[in-house]
Amino acid sequence: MAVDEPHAPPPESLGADGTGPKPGAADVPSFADDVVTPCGRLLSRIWEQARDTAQAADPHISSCPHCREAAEGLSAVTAASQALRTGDRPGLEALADRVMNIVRAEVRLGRLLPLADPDRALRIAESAAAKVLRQAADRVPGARAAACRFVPVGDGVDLRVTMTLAAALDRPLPDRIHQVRRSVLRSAGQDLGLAVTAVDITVVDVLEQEPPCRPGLTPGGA
Amino acid sequence: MIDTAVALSPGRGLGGRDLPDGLLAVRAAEGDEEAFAVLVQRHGRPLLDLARCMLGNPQDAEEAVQDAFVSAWRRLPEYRHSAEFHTWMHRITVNRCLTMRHRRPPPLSLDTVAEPAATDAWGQPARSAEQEAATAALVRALGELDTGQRLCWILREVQGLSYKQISHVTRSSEQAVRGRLFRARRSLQEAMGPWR
Amino acid sequence: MTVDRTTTLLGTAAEAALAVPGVAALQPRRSPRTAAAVASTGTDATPKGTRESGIRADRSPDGPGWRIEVRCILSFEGRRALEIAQNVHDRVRAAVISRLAALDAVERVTVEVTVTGVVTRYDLT
Repeated sequence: MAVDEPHAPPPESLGADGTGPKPGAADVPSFADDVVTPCGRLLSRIWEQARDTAQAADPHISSCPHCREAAEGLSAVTAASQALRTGDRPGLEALADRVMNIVRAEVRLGRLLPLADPDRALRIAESAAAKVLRQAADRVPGARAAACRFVPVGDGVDLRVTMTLAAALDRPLPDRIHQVRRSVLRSAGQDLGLAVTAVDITVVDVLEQEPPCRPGLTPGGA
Repeated sequence: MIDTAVALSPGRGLGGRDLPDGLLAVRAAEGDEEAFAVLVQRHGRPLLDLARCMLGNPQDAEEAVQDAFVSAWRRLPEYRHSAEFHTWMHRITVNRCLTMRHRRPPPLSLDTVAEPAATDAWGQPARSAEQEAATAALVRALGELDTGQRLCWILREVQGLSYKQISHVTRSSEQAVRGRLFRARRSLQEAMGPWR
Repeated sequence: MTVDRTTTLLGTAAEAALAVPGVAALQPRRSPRTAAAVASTGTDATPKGTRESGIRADRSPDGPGWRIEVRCILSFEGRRALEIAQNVHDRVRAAVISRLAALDAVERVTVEVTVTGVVTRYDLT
């Protein structure tokens, strides 16, 4: 770590006998509230060596009594945090189930869209229709739907769909958009029975074809 | 006529498992609860760790994170994507924990805590009253830290991430991460003074 | 007496709707308070044919008659949402009219069907 950071004290600041820089040497504190020990080490470095890294260990810090006492200062915190590191981890599955039960009971209907029957009052919630048409778009390889909205056309049951997509760049975009449009139109007619007259598609994001997520870090491709 | 039906392998993620957070959030905001379920699976674990650090016990942590997710579901239509979804969820969770803390009775002092049983309900060796109180003091102090400092401390000390990983998650430089970590440790060391 | 009749019609409509192939469930209608109560108990004890079970029965605002609103969740299984909704409409209407006739009441009945959700095969994996 020490070699990478921009504010690392240069190695030449060590005293000739290697026991540490003379006080006032080039070990400039990197942080405004950092503390310099009597033997010229930064408190932040001492703590980092104690808690964070096994690399580039400063042998002085490991042996000097001042530095070791400074490192000891963190021991109460470290001990108290043991329970947070290793204790009971609350269960995610039960929690996820409870959350989804509540969510499903409160499902957002959004606007109601007419199904294509002029003689009966038959409607479908926009969220339900959007879900089906998004899945139709998702069935096209290299495409994933984002938003799916509906706009009434005229006074009757006709509708226009406006969809945004993430698309992969391994094929020309117009081809992919065309495929998505066909899939959506087909689903609107054959799965739902909606009178969709047009499908407007905008590609808003690039789809990365990634291997499955590794556990742990940065989900969402960040 | 082009046949657009495609056979799918089970893990292909038509349920959204491979979609980025932002996309899932858009879908969930329109009522797609399956997209929201993926977000819960992805972010539940780190949020539970965060809540546990702020509240001190797993049961309260579960309650806080459950409330946070339900609140997020209701507020998704207003979420403007100016912050990343996980940052937005983090904020909601922290606020929920702070609200819950204010309603708690204050932690027992050392002389009023009864000595607990030898093992707890899960068969883990029980900790002494003093250890419990020390952890409670740490949790209280964590709650008072600046948000950025607290996050860096939890990611480093509880979740074991490296500086590089932390800088990734928090979208800041490693130098900034180290600075926050240092300040967090200073504040916590001061707060834990009586437990030396 | 009016309250009893409403309850009766709710039950009739619910039964008829649930019998239609392609109807997975009626859309529960819950206040946030009730939703939280269900979440904490983990059970769904809502009786059929109540205000909570996705059917609403009102006297028509304009003149005699009843207006029945059915909110349901569909599972496709090879049928179009449109056809399923048409079946729900027709069967509920027939059942309610028949029930009223048995009670010596001949009234106009209008039915509105709202599809609130769909269960697709991807939900089941």
